[in-house]
Amino acid sequence: MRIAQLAFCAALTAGCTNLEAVRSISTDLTLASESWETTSDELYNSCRREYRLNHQIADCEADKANALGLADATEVLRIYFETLAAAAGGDAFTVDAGLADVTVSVSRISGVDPAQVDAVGGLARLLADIVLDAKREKVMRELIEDGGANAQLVVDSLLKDHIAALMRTRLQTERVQAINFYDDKFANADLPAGVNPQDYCRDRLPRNAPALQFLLVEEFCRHDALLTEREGAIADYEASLNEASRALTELQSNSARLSNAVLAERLFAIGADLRSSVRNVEAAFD
Amino acid sequence: MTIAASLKILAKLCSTAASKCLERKLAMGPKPDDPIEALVWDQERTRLSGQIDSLSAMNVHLGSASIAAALKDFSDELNFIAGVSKDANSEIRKIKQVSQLLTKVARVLDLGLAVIAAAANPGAAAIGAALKAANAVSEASE
Repeated sequence: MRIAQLAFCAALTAGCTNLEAVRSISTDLTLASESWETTSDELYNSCRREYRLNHQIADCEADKANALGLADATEVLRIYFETLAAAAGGDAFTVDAGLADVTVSVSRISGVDPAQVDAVGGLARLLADIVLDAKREKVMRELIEDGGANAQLVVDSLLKDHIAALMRTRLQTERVQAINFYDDKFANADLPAGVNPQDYCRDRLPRNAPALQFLLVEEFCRHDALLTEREGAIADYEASLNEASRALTELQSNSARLSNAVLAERLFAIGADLRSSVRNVEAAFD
Repeated sequence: MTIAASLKILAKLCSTAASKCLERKLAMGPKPDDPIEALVWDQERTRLSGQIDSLSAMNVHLGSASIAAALKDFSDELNFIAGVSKDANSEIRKIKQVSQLLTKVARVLDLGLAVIAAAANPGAAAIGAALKAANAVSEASE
């Protein structure tokens, strides 16, 4: 009978534990969304770089406003992921301090033996964990079932398909713009026309070339290298959005089984990929 | 198709056109020696350079308009996510209150035991312990 009771309690608690994977992926998603906020500024920065070379660009005020709007949108996602992490993390809901006090109180009762104290403490902890873990899972399920689809739509359709795609196009155009600008300047500085300015970055000028030619080539190559770095950062940004989308898919299709071991494995694997992409994004915009 | 998506396609079109203009400009090769041909060469380069500037500026303009429209398109979804997070945070606060309540209950138990001990054996130590337990209860209920 006693064994049956223990087995029942163990079964009850097993379903409510092992939420470490959900907490871990939510924390990774929170960090990823923080890195997405840094990429929001890139459209404005790209516009500013083009503005210096192209007099047909009146100003970059629209991109400045968009950067703020994008930062707000990613902040909404960040808060969502942070809330999920808070619900999945047991630290905020610990009853250990209270239960330790209960145990001490019981141990002071005259005639109580240590085994009984442990039993009371253990039972109280078990009951509290069941109640609190069940409540936490309910909050997580509601967060995922109610907000998961919208969060994924924002990640996939707004950030990945729209913003990231536009950023890529913008950087391609900026490169065209830069090559065009420096091609004219190179021609004015008596460098041979009809040569792609990028070829000068792969080769080197003759030692006796005029200083102006050296300076122009140096400046162009610096700009070109920056664009290559930014294109890589956008690729990593897209990769982190893909990982976030994968995580949201897993969470939504398993919202009823959040403590499932297979889900945990998949979430930890996605989290590792996500962290790698986020590190690259942060390094590129550092 | 949404306005945001249409603007995005137009921005991409401008980018592709600018890229084609640049290819043509670079493919023109070195300036011819013949003065008439050199004049035509200069004019063509200037024309292509101006087109690249116009198309790049258009790409910036259309891209910005597309993002502004997209942010507007997704405002309902973003507001919904914010609402779900707010509700969840409120639930989390309630759960925290439950765990805090357990701590308070334990402290009340402490006070009860201290009072009983002091009544059974009223010494300075027992009364001191009861006062300490009473303080803990009042702190816990703050």
